[in-house]
Amino acid sequence: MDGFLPTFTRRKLLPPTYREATWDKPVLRLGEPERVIIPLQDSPGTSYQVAVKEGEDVTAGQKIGVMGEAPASLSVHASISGTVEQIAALPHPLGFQAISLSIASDGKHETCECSPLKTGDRAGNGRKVLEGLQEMGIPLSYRHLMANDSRVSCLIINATEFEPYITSRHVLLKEHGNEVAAGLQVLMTACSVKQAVIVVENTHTALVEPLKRDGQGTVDIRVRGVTQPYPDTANWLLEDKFSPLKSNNKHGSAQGLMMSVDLSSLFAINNAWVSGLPFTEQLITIAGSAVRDPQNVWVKTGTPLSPIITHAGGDLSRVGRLVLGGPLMGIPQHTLAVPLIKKAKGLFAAVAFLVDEHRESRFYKQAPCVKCAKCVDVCPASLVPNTIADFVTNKLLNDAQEWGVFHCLECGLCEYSCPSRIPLLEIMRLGKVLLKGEDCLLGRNVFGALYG
Amino acid sequence: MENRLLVSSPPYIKNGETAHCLMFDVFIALIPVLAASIIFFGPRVLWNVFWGVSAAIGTEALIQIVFKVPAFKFRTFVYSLLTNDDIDVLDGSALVTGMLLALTLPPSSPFWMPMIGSFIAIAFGKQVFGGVGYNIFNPALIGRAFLLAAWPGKATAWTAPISWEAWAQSLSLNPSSWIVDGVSTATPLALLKLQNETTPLAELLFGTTAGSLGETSALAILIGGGYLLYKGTVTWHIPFSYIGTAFLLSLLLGQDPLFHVFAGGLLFGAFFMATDVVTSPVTKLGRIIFGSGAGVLTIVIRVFGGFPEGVCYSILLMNAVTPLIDRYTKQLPQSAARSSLTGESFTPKG
Ligand code: SF4
Ligand code: SF4
Repeated sequence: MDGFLPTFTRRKLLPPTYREATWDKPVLRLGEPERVIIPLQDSPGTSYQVAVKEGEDVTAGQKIGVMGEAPASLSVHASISGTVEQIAALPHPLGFQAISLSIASDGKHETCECSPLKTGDRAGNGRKVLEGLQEMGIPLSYRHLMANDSRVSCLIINATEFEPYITSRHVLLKEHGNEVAAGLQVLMTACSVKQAVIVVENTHTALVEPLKRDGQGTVDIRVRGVTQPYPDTANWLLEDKFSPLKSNNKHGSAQGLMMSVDLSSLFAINNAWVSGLPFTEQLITIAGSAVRDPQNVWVKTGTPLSPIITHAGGDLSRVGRLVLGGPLMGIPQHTLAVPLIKKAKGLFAAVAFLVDEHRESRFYKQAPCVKCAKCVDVCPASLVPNTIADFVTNKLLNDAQEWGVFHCLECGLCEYSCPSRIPLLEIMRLGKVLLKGEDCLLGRNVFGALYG
Repeated sequence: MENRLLVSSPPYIKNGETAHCLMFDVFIALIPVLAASIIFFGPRVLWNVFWGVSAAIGTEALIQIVFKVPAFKFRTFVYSLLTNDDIDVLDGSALVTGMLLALTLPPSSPFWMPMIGSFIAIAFGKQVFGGVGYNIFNPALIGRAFLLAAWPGKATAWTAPISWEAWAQSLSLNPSSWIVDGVSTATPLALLKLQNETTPLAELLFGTTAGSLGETSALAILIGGGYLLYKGTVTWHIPFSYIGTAFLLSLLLGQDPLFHVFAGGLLFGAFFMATDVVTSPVTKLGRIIFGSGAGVLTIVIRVFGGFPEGVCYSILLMNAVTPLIDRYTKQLPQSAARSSLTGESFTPKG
């Protein structure tokens, strides 16, 4: 009856952050898994090259393939040492069968010889450094960087933690703020960008202090405090709101491109710069009702999800729902065999019950929209979700487009707050897919390594 | 055998709220208003409200049984009513409609007036449009407008608040004393219009004037409205723009602005009628336009029109243009000018 009986507490439109569960815990490192699965494709049909053969021995950090096409390609590295078992189409977290390499660990923890970018002959040349980062498998939007080098004139860093339960981004800043700051310096020098904007919650501005401190001098790093976190997909919105480029001329046409960068990428850039390590390890939060011990943990890229859940005290047979990402915009998984991919920040495992529709309380079933405007008030993109959903369900797709269905960030807040339990986010996505096909789904693309 | 995982579209968390909460919040906010009118007009207020609410719920149940559930099992009437998925009479919207309607009638109205009003409100104000969420006009106001047109005399037979002796007497066991009729008198707005007589502000604020059951005590309405605002059931946009516009316009027209705000049904309309979620615009700018439009219409009707009171018609008129307001105030971010409208820029492949 939760939600049926009136309460006197103030109605909250935004979900609580639940950060207490994982925020203060020590950050552990997951032991080497028996096997990693490393996808070479990012979406169905991405081109790829394999640099190793089945049965070959690889060391951790060895380049095993290339994903995508030059100039926007990305090298792929083995994250553990061992033997390449097979190269085949295996389930990918984004819901298709991707050509992947599966590597069985030999337990030797051999690391390949790697030379730091700092000392190489590339150091002076920005373009060469970027190519080096590409070689290191760090997901950035190389399309922008390589094609329109000069037009990118500002970096935007979303340091807000949008997903409830997930804290990995803030923990990364807390534990490794200086490394992230150094990575930012490297990137800004490499693509000769003078300005950067860091968006962070007002309550956590202390976390980005190191980034700002380093910036004093040649480059201009601004911190913008916000009250409400922004989703990862909010690139155009952040650009609109926080662009320092636009404030120069009143008419609003930006004079350059802004490029958004991930904090985890910045950290990886620093690693590559200082010690030459490719991107093979990432910090994720694992949370949800199915794990006993939610926490932040360093995990090798490509680790299948089951050892991560077991590590956090989860019973694999009790997991009913598994989501890569957070509970608001994550990607649902249908099998535990999928690997962790580079852009994932969290893993949300929940015990789910397969609810028989008729057993559910009838107050919780979907009801007609009462136009309460909760979804409108909460939408970060200032859309009118209820009307767009009406258009999409009635197949008036052109109207839906006119009302801005493509501005939807797929953040899920509207559906979270809708008292009529209308699956608004699902309808928004349906509208996008019906109009332009699946390639335009932001919520999926943001997990792709090649997306920028 | 690997266990099966549930796959569905995100989000996977939900605030545990249902549309019932909104309705019951309004119900709670109406309690101080109801209490004030019981204090001023005697216990028979409850009698009227009871009939209004029962008629509203009964009409809704009947219409839904007849038109939506052909296989309704009358033998287990209550059980079927409670468990059938197609009947949402318990969602509280009929309750609120009936209560709002009863509170807009004069204290002396006979018990069948709220009944008929509720019937019209639910049947012709709501169910003909397809039920909750689809109606264009505020059902309670439809009911009230109908009563005003059908029984103009009875619907405007205002009486003064009853005396304490009469209140005490009406509590006795003798049924004939339950219904106390106050001395008939005119509302402050009618006094102003017809006799150019103003009522002191303190009386308006406290509620010791003639008027509809719910609208006399500004204080009680402000308490209820404050609860709605605090709880987040309604946003400030509609009530504040409504009251603010009425205030400014009456100031411009050389009237006493405070009198116009506190007299008559303006506060009641601004907090309880205009904010009805279904019939008000969804965009923020739209809500402000809606409130201001209703404010302008109210003062225009009051000052220039033939009726002393204009709240009911002003809100109904603005209800009619709500879809239009929504259409023209849709918020589109600036970058609409950029290629994002077509979705092209979101394709990931380089
Ligand atoms: S879609 Fe849901 S949240 Fe939005 S106006 Fe309708 S009922 Fe309210
Ligand atoms: S429409 Fe819903 S999912 Fe899309 S941006 Fe707005 S709140 Fe988020």
